[in-house]
Amino acid sequence: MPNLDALLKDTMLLTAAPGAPWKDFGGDKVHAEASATPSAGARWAWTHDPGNAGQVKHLTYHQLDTPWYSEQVVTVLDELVWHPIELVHRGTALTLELSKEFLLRKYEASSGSIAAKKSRHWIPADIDRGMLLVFGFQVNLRGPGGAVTLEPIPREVLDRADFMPAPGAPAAPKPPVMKVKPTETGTLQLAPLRVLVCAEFVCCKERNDYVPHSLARTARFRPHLMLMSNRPLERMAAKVSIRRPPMSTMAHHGGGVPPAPHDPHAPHDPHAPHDPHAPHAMGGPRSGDPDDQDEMLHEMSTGMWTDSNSSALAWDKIANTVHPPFWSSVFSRVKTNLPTGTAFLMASPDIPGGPGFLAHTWNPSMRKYVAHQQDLKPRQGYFDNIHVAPAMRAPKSIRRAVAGKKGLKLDDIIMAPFCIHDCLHMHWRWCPADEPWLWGWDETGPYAVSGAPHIPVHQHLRVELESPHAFAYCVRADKGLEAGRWQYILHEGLAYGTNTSEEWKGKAMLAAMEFLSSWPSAAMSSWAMFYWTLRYWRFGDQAMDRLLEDGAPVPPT
Amino acid sequence: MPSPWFDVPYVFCRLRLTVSHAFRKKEAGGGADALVTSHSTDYVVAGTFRLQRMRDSLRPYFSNPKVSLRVAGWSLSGMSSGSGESAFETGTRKDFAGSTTPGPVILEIYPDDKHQANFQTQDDNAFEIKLATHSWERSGAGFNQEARDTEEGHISFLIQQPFPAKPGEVRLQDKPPFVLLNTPFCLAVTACEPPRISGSFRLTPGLPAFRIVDDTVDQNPIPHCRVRVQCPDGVAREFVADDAGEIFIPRSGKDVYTLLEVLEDAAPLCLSRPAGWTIEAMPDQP
Repeated sequence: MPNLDALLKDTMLLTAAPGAPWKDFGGDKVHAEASATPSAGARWAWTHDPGNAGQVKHLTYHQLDTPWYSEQVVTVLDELVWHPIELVHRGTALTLELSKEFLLRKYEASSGSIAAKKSRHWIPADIDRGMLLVFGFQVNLRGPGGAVTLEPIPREVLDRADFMPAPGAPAAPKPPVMKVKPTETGTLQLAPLRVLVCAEFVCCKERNDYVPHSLARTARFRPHLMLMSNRPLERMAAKVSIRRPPMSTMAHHGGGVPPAPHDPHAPHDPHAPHDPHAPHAMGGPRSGDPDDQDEMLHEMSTGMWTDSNSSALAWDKIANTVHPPFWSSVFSRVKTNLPTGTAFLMASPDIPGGPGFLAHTWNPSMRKYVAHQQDLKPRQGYFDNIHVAPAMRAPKSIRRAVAGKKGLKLDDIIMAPFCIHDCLHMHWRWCPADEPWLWGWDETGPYAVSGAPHIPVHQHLRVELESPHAFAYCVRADKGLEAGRWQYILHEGLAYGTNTSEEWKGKAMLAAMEFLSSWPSAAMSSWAMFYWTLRYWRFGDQAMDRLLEDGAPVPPT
Repeated sequence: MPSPWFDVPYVFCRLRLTVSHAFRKKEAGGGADALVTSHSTDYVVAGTFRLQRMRDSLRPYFSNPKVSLRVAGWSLSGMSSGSGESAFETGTRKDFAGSTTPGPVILEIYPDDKHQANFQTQDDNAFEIKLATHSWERSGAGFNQEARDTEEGHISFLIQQPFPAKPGEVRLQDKPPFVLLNTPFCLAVTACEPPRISGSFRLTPGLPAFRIVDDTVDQNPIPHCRVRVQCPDGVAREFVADDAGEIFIPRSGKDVYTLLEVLEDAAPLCLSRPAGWTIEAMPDQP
């Protein structure tokens, strides 16, 4: 039966950095550190104010120079919000607000590593900067009758070996016979429901283990929650909001209109003088006419994709210059430019898997869309991932060559299946793949089953668009909520795309794109046109989606 | 000297001693390789117990021979010196969370001295706790040795403060005229810094049959708690705890009352569970 210190060894930060220092907020230390403080690693930086303990603001990433953009600090998130957690125990609803009142400790570390196979729950990682917030809640048994009020867990309880029951421990033992003689006083101690919540914000150094075949470099960040109670719960619901700025702050070399000057640690000002529709040149590989480069829009947009369950081999094709990863081969469902309010069930234990929806792919030889029924994995929901990034625009010479032909859709080109600039990725399921880090959960934990969702097996995941550049990750569970066992929320984390795993792969891929040979020469060095080709087939003056967008009517043949 | 305190049969005490401090001292004149000693600790000693007035004493004198104190906390003490290969470091961490062995506690009031009262443990060998220890020695030359063990220690205290001439509830002073606390958490015999004190003495009409409290070191009372009790006549009856979480039932002879259950049919008690049961005996005086 563990005490608090033993339990915290399960967190990602203390797995990577066991000796990380911490600041005490419990008991009479509740007034410690009342203002926002910046946290900065070598690449990542953010601001956290214990007074608003459930929020992290102004997350930035220091991008190094690449062939695609110059060194700079980019705003990844305006804010991340851990909303109050809703619980039900013995028919009574409780709301746990991650506020300073319940904050017990705050850990921070700027180094630390997790080696392969060191942890059942965490894959290898090198910490750039990490924060762990520890919150403790207990029901106030001295509160007014008929009402439930919460109070922080007293410090001395945290040190007790029976602070939480061991996972799988039998239900409470039979109470003793409580008899007293006239010369005796019997004291009955009652233990309240206690809940421990860890909110981690662990930002990692770049690695190439976020996509199949290690083809892209990304910097992961893990803003998950871990929750444990001393009693079984009937229900748990949690929500995390992930909010990007409405406009990309990334600047590119190659001329054009740069983004407005932006202090990444200042609140985003949507009214700042800046034309969001004025794209700026981003330059593909540093070659060709500097006035005829790819352009990047500044407005963020959000898209969701579902991996094809037979797409693992297609990822090999990304490095294969003959058969690029067309959307019709790597995805089975897609929806781009999602509007505010869009929401989907993304994973659920109630979904049995098996024959599922119809995907419509363009067949160039038949000149029509062909329907393919998709075979779905158990628990697999509507989409597998979400990407929030600015779109691209084809170089000027290409757009001039097809001037007036709006059907070719060269002004709003979405990056996928990987992103070359300023893209926030989140995948809660991957296609069946060889790499264990892409595998999902089974009853024993994460990274266990190829093709399975990356959330605990008893959780239902719903993702809701709060705006075109922000979304809420909402989970609920009504079983599997045992006493003394961690519940992980948003365990899969997110990643910020930074580069291809090796730059030559990207260059070689572009250089060999023979299917762009009919376009003006700028296409041969254009990431925008590369992405355009992955998505579209040119059919006269029309760009035909290789994979028809979800919900779009099938064009008549 | 007469005092109405002679007419008080019982006082009920709730006590909390909190100690939290940290220091780091560098040996004066030692230069860069000076010896550095450090010590930090955070612990609490708490008790809730009844003291019974002893007859035939010269002053109002209350005692309980078998009080168990609840203790939770840790201490960290160490020394270090030097740098590079000549560096060395030694330290010990002690942890404990639990209850002491039983021991005697007394309260003695001096009516002839402005009702000054001594509230103290007796028997320095009682109130034993067994701490978990983790000790280490390290040197810059590569020596590294660790050991985990247990260590026995004892708790004792003495608090002096004036009581009112008329019996009634008495709050313990945060900073009384004199306080002494001995624990194994601190380097010296007594606590490095005086403890913060809270608690009170309350007068009760007799022994409550039951107390309903939470599971913290403080054993905070849970007021107005409804319980079902099996009475000596075989009938189960419902009782309600008072503001102090106590349930008084007139008892006599060889009556035995059995606490059957806490009625957890409403919040917040429906979110609690029994976590411990202890009996405190206070035999009638001969």
